[in-house]
Amino acid sequence: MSATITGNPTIALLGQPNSGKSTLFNGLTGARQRVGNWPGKTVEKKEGYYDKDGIRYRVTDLPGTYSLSANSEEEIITRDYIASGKADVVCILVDSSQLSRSLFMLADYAGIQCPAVLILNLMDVAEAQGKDIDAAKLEEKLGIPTIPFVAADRKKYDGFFEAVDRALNEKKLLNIDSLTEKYHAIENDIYGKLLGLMPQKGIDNYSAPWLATKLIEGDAAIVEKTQNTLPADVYREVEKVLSSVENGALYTGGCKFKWIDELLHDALVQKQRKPLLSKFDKLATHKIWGKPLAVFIILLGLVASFIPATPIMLFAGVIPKLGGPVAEVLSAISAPQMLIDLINQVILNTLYAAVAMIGFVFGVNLIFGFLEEIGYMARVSYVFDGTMAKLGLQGKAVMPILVSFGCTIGGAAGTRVIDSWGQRVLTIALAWVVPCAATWAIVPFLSSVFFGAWAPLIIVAIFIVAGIHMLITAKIFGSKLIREEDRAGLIMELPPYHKPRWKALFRSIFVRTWDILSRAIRVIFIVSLIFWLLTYSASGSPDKTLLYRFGRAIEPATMIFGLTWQTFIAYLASMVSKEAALGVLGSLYLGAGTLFSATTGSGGQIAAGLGNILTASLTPPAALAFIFAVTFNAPCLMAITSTYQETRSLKWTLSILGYYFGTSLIFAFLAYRISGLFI
Amino acid sequence: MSEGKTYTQNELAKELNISVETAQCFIEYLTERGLLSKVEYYSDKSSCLSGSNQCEKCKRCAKRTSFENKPILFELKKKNL
Repeated sequence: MSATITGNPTIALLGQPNSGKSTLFNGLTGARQRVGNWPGKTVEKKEGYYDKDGIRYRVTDLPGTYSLSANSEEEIITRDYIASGKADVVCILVDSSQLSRSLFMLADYAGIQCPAVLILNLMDVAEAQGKDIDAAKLEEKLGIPTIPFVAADRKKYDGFFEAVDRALNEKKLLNIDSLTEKYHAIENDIYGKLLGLMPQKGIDNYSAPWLATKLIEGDAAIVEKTQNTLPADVYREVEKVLSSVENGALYTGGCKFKWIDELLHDALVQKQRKPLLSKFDKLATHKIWGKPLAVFIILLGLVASFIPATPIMLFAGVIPKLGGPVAEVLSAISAPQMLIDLINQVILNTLYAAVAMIGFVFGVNLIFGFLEEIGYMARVSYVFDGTMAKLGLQGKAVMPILVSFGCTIGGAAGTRVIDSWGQRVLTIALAWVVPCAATWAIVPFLSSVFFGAWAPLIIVAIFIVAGIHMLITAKIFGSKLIREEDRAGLIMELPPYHKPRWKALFRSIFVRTWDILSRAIRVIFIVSLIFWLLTYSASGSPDKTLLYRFGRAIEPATMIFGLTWQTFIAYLASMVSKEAALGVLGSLYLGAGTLFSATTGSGGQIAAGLGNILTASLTPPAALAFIFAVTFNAPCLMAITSTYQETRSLKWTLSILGYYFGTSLIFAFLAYRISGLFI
Repeated sequence: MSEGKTYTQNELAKELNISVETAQCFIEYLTERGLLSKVEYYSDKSSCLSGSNQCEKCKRCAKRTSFENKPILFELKKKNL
């Protein structure tokens, strides 16, 4: 084959990083190589040679680059070298395991007037991935020698030698007809106009089509080259055409990738493994059905979370029963009454409340952790993108909103990716509506205590009200904060579905649950202790305490919203931390066994547990009012601080706070009055 | 997209009549060119929730912001269009 080759041909190796150029270079040249720098550059230059059939082939390993644009020093060196005409043949190496990506270099090379060989390297990897690549079909389409190759296997270099000789003998250039056809289709045929202005033979080794493409892309070096080469009047015409082009790389890139796709259409067969849940995914991402499906799955998940919670709640019921034996033991050893009361009403109550609610935290985390783990939650964010747009939110707000299901502070911090300040404030304002993990800790607990088997319905109602709340909030705040042009388009890469990794899932659930449990114990204990001390009366007459008198005084006003003075104070405490509400309730209703007695007249016996006391003290409408007030109250003190940190506006932080204070009381009022008609 | 719409990779591939794999490469290309930008949530230390800046020891952000299998978002850069 090498019979007609004269002199010492030069082969240039061109390819993207990790395409196997260096492996091929080393395989070809062995010890016959010289390493230096490109003149005036810090980029390494590798040259060498190999002998075959009495001919010495010089090999130049060009720097690894992604394209032939002038984006980096390496890319400039590479294309200057190619333009210099020093190479007799350019071997373009591509990674066969990711052809769509790697063939971009070939598309960028299209139009360079130097014979080329396409080397489909890493064929072994591609085959292992189930890819069947038809090199002959590619060669037919491209018009240049195309070979399957494994650079690491030197025993199979014969195909390479044969292809290089063929390219040197036949001097065939890459067939770019179908690519230029696509360039012509770019708006107003700017490509055709520029092509007509280029010298027919091109400049250096660059053809007129290649130059026209690079001009559309706004390649500064090529613009300068044409300016220096073309007559002034012709260049003025070029400038005129280019003045109508914006982001040309977007158009040419689209053409190149379309060309690659067509090239591979029948030359690459991927043995498809059927994607997991593909039919379900069609429904899950459906424009119309995706939303109701998501709502159904989320509600079902919340209801299902009661299943693992129930046994834990039953177990928690044992804790208050320890009060009797503990009191007996302590009385037997003559412990002070105050200590006995403290253990009974603060410590045991804290443990009871924390353990009882943690079952729901575990349940909710388990269900939603599972949905996240299999990849479904990402679909939820996609199907609700349109709704977010209607609320005036950016697509990027999806993550802060979803994260707020875990913690509003995390949600607020996540808004930093939103460039527009107004959008950021609106996203935070709406993230406050999303019930956080602490809300999911206490709301299902209270719902179960008061409504038993009907508790899941309360959760459904909360979800519906949260949706309405978001619409109203977006309307109120949106008009002042957002501009239509703030919303930018997004491309969402959804993760594939996969089977859950149970071990990792449970580890993460336990970490989150433990985090909330330990925080809940601390918060409930401290709040319980404070309020217990405020209501403790050694004389057994808590009605003499300042808090009791204050409570009684405000109760006529708080009852408008269906809140007793105790639940109102618990509601205020939930602004500091949701768990704190339970601590307050515990103390005010169990309060040394005396305040509860004073309130209900039940006699001073040791409390049988917060749940029993609450059901005895509050009517179902009052309980519902409390649940709604706490759910839609400000998330917590930390979230308020975080909102200030992110918005840098005291005015807006206080506005949001005031708004939530007001709306949560309105929701409590509505829940109390409406439920009062039926219950 | 310039009107603020969101597309999945599959929709983009369908729209451009190319394979999903090629669409993925096109997204990468546009990102490199600065026409799209990848949205990086919680990527800088300034978003530290504990204020300790000792990420190696602290798990606070991870606990509060962890969201498994989240979608990867690429935003259209209007300034560059």
